[in-house]
Amino acid sequence: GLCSLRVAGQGRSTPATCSPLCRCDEDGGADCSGKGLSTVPAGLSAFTYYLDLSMNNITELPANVFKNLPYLEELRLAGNDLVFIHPEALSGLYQLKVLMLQNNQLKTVPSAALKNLHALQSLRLDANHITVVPGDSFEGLQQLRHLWLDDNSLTEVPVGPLQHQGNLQALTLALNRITHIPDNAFANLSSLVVLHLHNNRIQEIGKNCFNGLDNLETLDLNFNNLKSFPEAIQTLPKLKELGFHSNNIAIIPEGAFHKNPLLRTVHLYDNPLSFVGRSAFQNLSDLHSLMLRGATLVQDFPSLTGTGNLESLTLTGTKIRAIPEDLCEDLSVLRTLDLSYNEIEELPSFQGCVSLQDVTVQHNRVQQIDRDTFQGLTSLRVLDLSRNQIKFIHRDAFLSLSALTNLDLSMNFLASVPTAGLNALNQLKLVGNPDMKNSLTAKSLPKLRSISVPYAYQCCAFMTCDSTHSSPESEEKRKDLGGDEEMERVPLVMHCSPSPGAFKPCAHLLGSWMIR
Amino acid sequence: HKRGSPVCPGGCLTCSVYNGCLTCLPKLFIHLERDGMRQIGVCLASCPKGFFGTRSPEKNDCSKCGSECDTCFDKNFCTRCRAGSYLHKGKCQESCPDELVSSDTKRECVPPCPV
Repeated sequence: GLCSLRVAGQGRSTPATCSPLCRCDEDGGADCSGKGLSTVPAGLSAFTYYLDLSMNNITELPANVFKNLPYLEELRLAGNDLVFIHPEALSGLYQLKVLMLQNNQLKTVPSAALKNLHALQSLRLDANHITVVPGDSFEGLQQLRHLWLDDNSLTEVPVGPLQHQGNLQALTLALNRITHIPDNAFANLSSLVVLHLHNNRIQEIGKNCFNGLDNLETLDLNFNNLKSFPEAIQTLPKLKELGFHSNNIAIIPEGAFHKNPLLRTVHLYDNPLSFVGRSAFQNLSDLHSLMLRGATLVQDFPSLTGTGNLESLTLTGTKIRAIPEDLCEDLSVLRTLDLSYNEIEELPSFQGCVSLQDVTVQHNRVQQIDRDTFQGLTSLRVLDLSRNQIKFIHRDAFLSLSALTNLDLSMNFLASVPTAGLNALNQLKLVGNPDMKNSLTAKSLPKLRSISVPYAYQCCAFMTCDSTHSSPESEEKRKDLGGDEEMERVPLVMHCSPSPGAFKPCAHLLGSWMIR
Repeated sequence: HKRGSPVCPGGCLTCSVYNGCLTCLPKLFIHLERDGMRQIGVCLASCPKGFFGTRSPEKNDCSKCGSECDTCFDKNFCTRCRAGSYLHKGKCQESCPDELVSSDTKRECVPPCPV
């Protein structure tokens, strides 16, 4: 058992011998990997505790081939061409903890050979061609904690072989051909913490298929063919990481996660979502990221009460027209907010979302920005309001945005834009506001480096136009541009588009631009 | 080397002189080792210590374990801790729950020895 003392002299002493085909260290480790071996080399020290035979050409393990290595704790046979393991091949390895058989040619689990490995904790059988898991496969393995069966050819969950694995903590059955998960498939795996089932062909799962997984924290169902929301997760009280992205789920029901209060991440993108229950994401106080894309029929903004630790919220491609007034009462640590491609007409005040750094509301129907819409957002760096219907922005709307560097107001109905507060702005997009004809001044945008404007002549205020050279005459023209005496010269490291050129000179034709 | 074109190191499907393996033979993991400023691709049957393998139909990658793990099953589940912390249900902790004691040799929380 765990408290047995090691017999004197049995510990890791300088190995008496080493095979010439291997490199041995003084701790009892022997590395014979990648030597083109077709058999297990002889001449290894009896005290060898770690033996790496990976990436050789060993196709079979005969009986008793490791009988002289009673202290072996880790045996690596990955990347050989193993086809057959004799039932007595691993006999005598009573202290073996880690057995790596991945990347071989096994078609079944070598259950007879594994039978007496009572100390085994980690067993890798991934990347073989296993289609059959005999019922007694893991019977003798009472200490087994980590089992890899991914990247094989299993068509169903090996329910029988797993049923006695009360100590198993991590299991992957990913990249197989499993089509369904029956009820009570993992009933006795009370210690299981991690279960990977991604990249299978799972279409439906029993409502009770996860019964018994009282300690499960990570469940990965990504890249399957699930047609409906996996209600079975409601029997997983400790669930923290859940993934079912890239499936065929259309509906996230009301109260979808109400039995999973510890959830931190939910990956559900790349599903043809058409409806999301308004209460689906309530009371998930540990959730720090929520990404909902393309739920085309959703009209109500999901309630986030009790989900106050969100740092990132993405909700795009819906029919949502309004954002709850109290959205920011609960979301003081929200950093990124993406509400693009919805049908939002009005913005509430985001004042409570004091940690916001990045807000995208592009491609909606917003018509105006009020004084308090972005008030107090001193950490905001990027604000994208492009492709809306904004006619009016209150002159103090950007007053507190002292950290804003990127502002996109392109493709709206603006006639003017307030610049008070935009001292840190270095990129401003205004293209696509046909009513904005007035000339802009660089004076209130000291850090500006890049601007796109509706009309080329508006660029003249920001750069030395090509068609005028720095001459007394151009100074005269600069004044014509509505620049006054105190107008500072704008640094030339400036990108302005559409830039005035031969056909769109800064100098007005026949005395007035209006003739243009 | 076992398989792979004569120019490429073992396990490679494609490679370049400067960056080593670019793609691997099926089912092998590609891992980027640092060599000064360069990154050298190598193809492995199991990821090195401190990394775990993630298999997908297109590619098999090695990704870093959590900072406190020596070895791990995935980014959330350690299988062996660094010295000074103790493994319990996949987590490396500085102390063990009441009913267990910390074993420095195993770096795990283990049942106390019967008196």
